[in-house]
Amino acid sequence: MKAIRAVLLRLAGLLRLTRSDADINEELQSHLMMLADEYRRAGLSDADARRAAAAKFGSVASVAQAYRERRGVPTLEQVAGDCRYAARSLGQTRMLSISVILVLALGIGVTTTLVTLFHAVAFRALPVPDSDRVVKLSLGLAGDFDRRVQGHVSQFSYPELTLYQDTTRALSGVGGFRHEVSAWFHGGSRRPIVLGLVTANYFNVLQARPASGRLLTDADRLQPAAVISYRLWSEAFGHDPGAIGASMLIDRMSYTVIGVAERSFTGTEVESVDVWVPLAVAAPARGHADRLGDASLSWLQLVGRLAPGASLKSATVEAGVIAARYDAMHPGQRTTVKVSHAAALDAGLLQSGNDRTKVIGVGAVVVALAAVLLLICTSNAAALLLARASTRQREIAIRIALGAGRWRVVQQLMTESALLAFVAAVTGLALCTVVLRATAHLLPLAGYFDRFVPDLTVLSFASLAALAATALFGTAPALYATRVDPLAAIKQDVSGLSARIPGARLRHSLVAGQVAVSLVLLVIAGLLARGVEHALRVDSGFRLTDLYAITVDVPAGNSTAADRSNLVRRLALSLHSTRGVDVGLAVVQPFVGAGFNHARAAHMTDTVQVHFNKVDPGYFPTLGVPSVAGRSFATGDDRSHVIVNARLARTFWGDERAAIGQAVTFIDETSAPDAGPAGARRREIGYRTGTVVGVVPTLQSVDVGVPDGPTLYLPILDGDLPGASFVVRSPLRQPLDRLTGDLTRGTDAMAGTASIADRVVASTQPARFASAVTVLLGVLTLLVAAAGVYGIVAHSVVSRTREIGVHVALGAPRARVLRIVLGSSIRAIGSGVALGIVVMLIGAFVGSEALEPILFGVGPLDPLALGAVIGFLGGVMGAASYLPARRALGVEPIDALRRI
Amino acid sequence: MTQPSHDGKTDKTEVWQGTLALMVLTTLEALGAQHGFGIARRIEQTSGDRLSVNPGTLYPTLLKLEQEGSITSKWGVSENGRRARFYQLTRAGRKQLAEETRQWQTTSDIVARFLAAARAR
Repeated sequence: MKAIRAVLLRLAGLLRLTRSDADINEELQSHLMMLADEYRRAGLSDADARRAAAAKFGSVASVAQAYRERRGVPTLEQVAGDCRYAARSLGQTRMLSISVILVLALGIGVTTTLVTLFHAVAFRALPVPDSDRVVKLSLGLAGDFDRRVQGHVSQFSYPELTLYQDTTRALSGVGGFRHEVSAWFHGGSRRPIVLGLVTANYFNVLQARPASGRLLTDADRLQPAAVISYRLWSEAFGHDPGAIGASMLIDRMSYTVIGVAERSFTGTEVESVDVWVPLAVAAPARGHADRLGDASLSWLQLVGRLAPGASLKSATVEAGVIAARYDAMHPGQRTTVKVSHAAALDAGLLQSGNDRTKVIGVGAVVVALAAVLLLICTSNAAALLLARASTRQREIAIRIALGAGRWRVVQQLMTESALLAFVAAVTGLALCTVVLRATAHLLPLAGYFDRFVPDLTVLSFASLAALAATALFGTAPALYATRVDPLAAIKQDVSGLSARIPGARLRHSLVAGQVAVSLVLLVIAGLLARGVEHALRVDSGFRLTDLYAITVDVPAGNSTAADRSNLVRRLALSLHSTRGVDVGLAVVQPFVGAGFNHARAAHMTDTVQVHFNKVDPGYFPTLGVPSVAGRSFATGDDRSHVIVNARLARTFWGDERAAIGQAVTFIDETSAPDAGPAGARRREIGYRTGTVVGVVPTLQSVDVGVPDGPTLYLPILDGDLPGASFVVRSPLRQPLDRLTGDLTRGTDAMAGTASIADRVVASTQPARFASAVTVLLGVLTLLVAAAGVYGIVAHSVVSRTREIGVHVALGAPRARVLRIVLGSSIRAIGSGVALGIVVMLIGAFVGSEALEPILFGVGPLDPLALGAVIGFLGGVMGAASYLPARRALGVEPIDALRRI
Repeated sequence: MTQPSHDGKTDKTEVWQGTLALMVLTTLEALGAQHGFGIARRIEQTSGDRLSVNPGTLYPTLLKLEQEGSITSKWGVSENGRRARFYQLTRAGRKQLAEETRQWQTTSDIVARFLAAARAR
């Protein structure tokens, strides 16, 4: 009790609630006067009495200090005082403080962002009620087993799933799921989507909630019902409530949308699902009906929910019993079933050992990257603070001379560092939030990034990072600054201070490294930007304006290949009868991928891989591509007539003209590819030989800005029509839309028109994004490097003031003075640039292939990009060096000489 | 704990840290309300001028006792007409004094016995 009361009163004392300084002084003065009274009574004169009393009493100030220390909590008061002082002194060197804060904020912000991303991917709980009751199941197989795997060996077969569902008591439900990439036929194009094939009870087990409509239930087991993700709802339907009930054509199966999942729910894997459909409907529609009955095929992931009263332990015991039943299904096999918490976002992902290693590997790299980045930033901040500490030698020396303990001064300097780190952490967190928001908007994976919001874990990480940063960047400068001989410093003899700081060499190498990294990043960014610009001006070999693609499709459920052929034929007829419109048919449209085949000339022993397309006589005229030699396709041509591009002609026969009349052997599928429900049927594959009747120029029709490989063109035959689509050149788009509208009205057929030029623009999207990211990273590194250079130069100016003064006094020109202080930074920058160029030369030989698809024909060593970047970098570095170097030019020789 | 110091001319011992609180409480019990100077004077007199009370020790001790609730203080006027802060025992202070007196006596009894035993040997 007594102790608590005392503590409370002392805390109150902090706020001067109990006794003011004036009060204390008055009490002590009264004591002093009574003492003097006593001496006076003993017979001393007034003055002597006072003098004697003062001598007896001792220092009033120190008694008052002892008193005050008892009154409050000295450490706390000191900290508050230190903070006030730190804020003032940091305010005096505003530019420098802002630089330190920015550098640290960058470090903390980027590190926090990386950790947030990784945390969100690997450790977030599922966004469903009672997510700690959700478990994932995985198979372990041993003994003599025969297993086929479509996914991972720890996954289940459909019969194993149903057996588990029928047997379990410990789990209130078990759902199965599988993610597959599929295509949604939408608005005239095939939109790639991630399809979630799930058991009808999947949402019930997870207790996920709908944002609109309803989710799948057991009644939907065999219904073509679909639940769409919130993201798809907003992107493709604009939050339209009318989306419920709409039909979606996926895998030639028409599904009816019954609901929208909640925004936070994106599935039970890392990748976000766009559409969930019942497994028992979608598997056959995707040509995998046989999988449902296969007991030895691993292809489904299982997720369950613990029944009320059941624990992970009881579920594990039960899993042992069920595993024994599996052994009965697969004689000779010893099965174990592992039940574990699905606390990780990806119940599935971490299930498989391989992927876990991958995630942990990525995580390790991310954390290491974050650590290195933070280290670089803190080392640069330390360099800046060192420069600052040097300028404060006199102040510190005076404080030490006045009796401040070294530890006390260190404490004061550390308070300044902590204050800087705190402001930096707040700024860094704000930066992190902004970056994450921006990423969410920029990335095509938008919905996936919605959950990347810094939470408590991340906040504590940021504070930890700030703390570590304080310790890292604050300690060395504080210790260095206080290692001073007060007498020498006050006499302005700074000779003791110009001693080399330990670690200077390391700092120089770090700055050089940063310069190199930012150079490389900026050059890559420059290349990407040039690539994008190049792509939009690229000569594909054909004119892109007024060129459209028209695709038609019919739902698989109630149509045959013949129906689709008829549809194509009817559209062809109406297009041909439209005035001013050129029409061609092709199996592979420009810029939507490539067909592949193997071919050889008569004189070759082995076939080589070639690009391949089937086109009708109207295709090349519509594109506006004339033949280089020979003729174009004509009606009546069959598989014994082929056209090749110039590149194939040169590769096979050395010359375009020599190709005409030559024989070429290629693989021919006697039946057209049919991706319908019965698509599993084997195709007869055999070789066929045709004669080259024409040679066309090498186009750039597969990847933007990249010449096509050797390409073989075959005439389209009737059997190819179901997979064919139109290439149309028309001055206006409306007639095309009207035509397709007339064609499909009243039927369940679908048709869509798309601009081919738009495809080219869309293909530059990843490059634009990559360019934006590398520019951001490059500029960040550049800023950090600039701060490092600033620190180096500032320190060199301060520590060599006297030397500079002597030079100035002896009449050295400005250039010479600048050379003295800039020498070290120029060396660091120069070696950084050299290192960067070497790295790029190596990269150009090793990594150019990786970048090729997004460079659109710009060489990896594009001189324009390189020159611009080096110029920019040099400018920034020059500014970072010149600002502190100006101080050297302002050195007064008299002032500097006085210091000797 | 004890740190006898010599200031050269006199042979006075500075009062022991731990015992000062007890002396203050005893003094206040004997004198009633008293100011800091009076307390110091009284302790020095009682010790036969063998102790010297340093104001730097006395005032923090008074503040500590007040914070702990053993004494209270208020401004008043001394017999010589000087304004001074007067300290007074509280009921809790009396209880604490009784307790500390008992403890001190026990301790000094024990120490006396040890010293007697040592002398006897």
